[in-house]
Amino acid sequence: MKKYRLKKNIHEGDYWILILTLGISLFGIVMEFSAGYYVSLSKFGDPYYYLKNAALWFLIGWAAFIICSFINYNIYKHIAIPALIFGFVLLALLFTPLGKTINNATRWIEIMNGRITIMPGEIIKTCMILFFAWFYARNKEFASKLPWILFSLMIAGAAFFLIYKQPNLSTAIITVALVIGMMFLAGLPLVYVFGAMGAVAAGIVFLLQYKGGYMMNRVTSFTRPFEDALGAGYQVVQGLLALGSGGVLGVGLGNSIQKAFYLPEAQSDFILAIIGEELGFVGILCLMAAYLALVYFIFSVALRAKDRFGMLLAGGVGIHLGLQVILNIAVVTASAPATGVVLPLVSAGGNALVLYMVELGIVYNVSKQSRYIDIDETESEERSEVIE
Amino acid sequence: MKNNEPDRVNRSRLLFIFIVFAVLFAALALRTAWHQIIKGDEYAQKAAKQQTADSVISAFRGNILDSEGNSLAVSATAHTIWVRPSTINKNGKTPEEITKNAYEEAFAIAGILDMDSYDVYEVITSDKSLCKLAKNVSSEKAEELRKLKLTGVEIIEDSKRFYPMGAFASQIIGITTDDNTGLTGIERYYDSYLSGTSGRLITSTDNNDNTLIFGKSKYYDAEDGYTLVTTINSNIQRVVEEKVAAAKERYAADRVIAIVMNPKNGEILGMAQSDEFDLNNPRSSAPGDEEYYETLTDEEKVSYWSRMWRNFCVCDVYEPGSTFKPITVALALDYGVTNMDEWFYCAGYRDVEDWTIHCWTWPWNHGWESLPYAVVNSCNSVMIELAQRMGRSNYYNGLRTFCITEKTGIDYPGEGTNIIYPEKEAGPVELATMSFGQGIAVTPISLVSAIGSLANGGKLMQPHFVKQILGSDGKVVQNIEPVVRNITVSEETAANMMDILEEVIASGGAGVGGIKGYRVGGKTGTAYKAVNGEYTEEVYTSFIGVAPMEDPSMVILVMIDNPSERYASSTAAVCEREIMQEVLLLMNIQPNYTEEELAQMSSSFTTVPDLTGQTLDDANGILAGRELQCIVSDDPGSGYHEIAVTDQYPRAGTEVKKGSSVTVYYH
Repeated sequence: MKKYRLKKNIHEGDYWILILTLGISLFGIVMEFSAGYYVSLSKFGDPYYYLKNAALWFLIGWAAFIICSFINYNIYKHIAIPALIFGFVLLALLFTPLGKTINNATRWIEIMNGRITIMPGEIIKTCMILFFAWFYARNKEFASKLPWILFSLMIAGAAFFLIYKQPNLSTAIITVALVIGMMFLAGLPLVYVFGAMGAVAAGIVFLLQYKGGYMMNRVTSFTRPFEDALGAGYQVVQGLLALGSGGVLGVGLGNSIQKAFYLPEAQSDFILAIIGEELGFVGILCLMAAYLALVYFIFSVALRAKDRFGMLLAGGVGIHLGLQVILNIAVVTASAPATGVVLPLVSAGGNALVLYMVELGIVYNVSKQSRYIDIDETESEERSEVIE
Repeated sequence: MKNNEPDRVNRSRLLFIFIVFAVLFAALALRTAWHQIIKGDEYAQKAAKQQTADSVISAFRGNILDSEGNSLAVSATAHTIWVRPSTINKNGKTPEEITKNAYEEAFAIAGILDMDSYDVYEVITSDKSLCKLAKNVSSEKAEELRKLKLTGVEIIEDSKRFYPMGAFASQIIGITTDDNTGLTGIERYYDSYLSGTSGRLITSTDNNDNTLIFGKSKYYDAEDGYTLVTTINSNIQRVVEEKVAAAKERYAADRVIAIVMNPKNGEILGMAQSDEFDLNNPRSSAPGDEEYYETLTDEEKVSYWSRMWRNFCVCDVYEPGSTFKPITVALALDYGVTNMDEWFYCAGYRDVEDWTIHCWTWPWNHGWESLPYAVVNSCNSVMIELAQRMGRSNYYNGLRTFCITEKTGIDYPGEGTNIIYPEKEAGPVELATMSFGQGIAVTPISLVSAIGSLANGGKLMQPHFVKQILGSDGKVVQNIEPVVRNITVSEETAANMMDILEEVIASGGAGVGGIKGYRVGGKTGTAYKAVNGEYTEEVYTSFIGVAPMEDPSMVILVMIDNPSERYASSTAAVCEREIMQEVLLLMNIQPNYTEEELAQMSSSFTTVPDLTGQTLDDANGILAGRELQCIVSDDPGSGYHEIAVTDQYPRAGTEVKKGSSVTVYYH
């Protein structure tokens, strides 16, 4: 068991979170500019169109981070329920004429004559983190009592249904996984954990037993995108070709060819493929290491949080970020079905960026209020004010 | 307060979630490595395949020039306009507006390309992915179109073959395919010289095939084709074509062909057949044939074109008839089985084994005649006698020295093969008929080449069309030197043969071939036309002439297929004389009139010659040579032109006005 000691300066935040967030978001601007350069030039006649956009959202995102880092996170306890209701209202609004449909999916709400577009599917995740952090912090018992467990699952299920209807399966899955992760973190009894895992395993065995190879084939078809390289597998194939062209060291920043209309969504959902093409496997490995480090430091903030609410907030943000990164990489490497999942802080898209910055700002505030700091076991012997 | 602080469970679960995340990150890192490192080369190759455009930079096809450097075939830059209807600008909110915009675009394009705007509209709104809108568009128009900056309209530059003279020397020059590969004629034979080597440009492109400025590119320059200098003299060619066309019209013939060759080096100075075609538009009807052409199916059109493009002079064979006799006589002289002073007796027929072969005079005969006069009289009996004296084996060896048994090797694709009885199967009868040019079929070019050797002191030259190959910078790459294929006869024999041929014109039935002021020689020929192995009533009349006799610099063959008049002397010989007269002037050979000719020219009177014993054909020719008309009393019509004259009016020796008529009689 690690030992902790009291922080000397109670207003000092976790500077690793600051550095990593800044580093990844700056890297995001550079890559958005590079990946979007050709499309931007052809579509808008201005090679800097995406760069300007990315820079603007970078500033807005950092403003949100700074503001949130100064807001005492305990205030969110009072808006947890309204936030959840707000999130659901936004999701419901998609089914009204306010919802905007692009490519057969209704995921956006336009306000102020389309000058601002918001994505309720992204907002609900942040709302879920706030709500369940408050909910499980209120009473430790809620995490272990069946009625409350079912209540939590009902809320997650309702969100899943509404997001799935947009349709946006990946966001729906991430939302549910986020809630389950927070329940697990809050102390869901292991019997339910194993029970759920057993049920999922039994379901898979059952399907394989009765539907056999056909089902298996359907389910795993996403790992063989080249079988339909010009149809359903097109985007993934183009992403893999970009990765393959990059090799170990990449073709060099700005030199991607796949971004020239070959790879759709090169600057948003599939930006990782362009990173792989330009900076190679080494570049991707560095980025993944940065993400893992960020998750690590977020979790360490959760560990040191002064209360359960702070711990659950930071833990929720860490789970959200980790899930998102894993799913995005899985999609780009043909390890998961292709769905629209952004790469946090790097992919183009203002909504998601601002929400991540809000979440990270909250985590930063949690870290500022943390009373403890990690120390080595050897060091602990010498210190007097060590507590367990 | 403890209840509200993170507990042991929370901490261990955070750690557990982190470990799960770390394991998944590691797995995904391996998965990425699989794609980037293990599969990297395979994917990179696939990517390169879709990312690069390999465009051919077409080499400029070399020009074809005449002997004086005038252009016969040149390459010009042309543009092809392609349209991608799916990407063409179709802005507009309502369907009406889209239609209106598309129509406006069509109108703008049509204006530049001189096309019907509705046709353009049809193309740009079609559901095809790529259509050819126009080809052979000039640079100016292509530039105008480019200035409109229309999306979905592509302008491709390529080179187009252009023939400045149009329907001129068409069968010789030949045509190219749409992708500039030689299809017929010199264009085909010298295709590897003309075509050059095309270059390549490999560039990185975006998904719409537009070149990327930041991509890699490789450029391999094209090497332009060589220019050919031909032996064709445009002025001579023009004369030949005019006279051939006129003769076809005059004699209502199926076809007229003519070849003018320089016997000293085998250069073809001119070669024509009556139906030229427009090289710039080869896939259409011959002039005057439009109505018939319209009734043809597509398949029939293809065979119609190939007939039209075919060069009879080189690719087809015909029976030479009497024009072959000089070869038999030359061989006999060279083998020493006869001499210039020997006298022969023609009984009007000759027995060959169990057969009796009649001389054409039968039932009359030539009686006693010297060797030269046997040729003047075109006596079949003497030819048979000479062939029999030589024997089959010597005669065939002789044909081989004249290279009659093989192709001339002219630089032209698809040369025809002469048809001769195989030596082992040739009996005395076959040998006999061959000696006077029947039962043997030769290409016009091989006959001209063989007779040419007699005019060149026995040296058989290889006929050819191209004398020089130039690089694209105009420097000489190769001079094509004349090739001596064989020595056919001794110089003495060749000189004797020239004397004999001159005598034919001077006193024989081919007097019409004579040209005042020049010493010319020649021989007529008439042969029945064989179609599918059966002789028909139709004839080929032909004439082969040589001039000037003191130093022969041209051999001219004219052959008329199925003329309305059946006398070689009044058809082929006339056409040949017309050509020769002008070619002599074009070659700047000055006339040298004899006193007799000067007297004749100044006088309006002429002496009626003795025609008895001559054929109707020859009588016609002799009279024409003295500017007299020939009227055949009770004309027997076709098929009987070799009947001998028995009487005439006015009598021989009478002084008559030029242009007056002489009536001839036969029994």
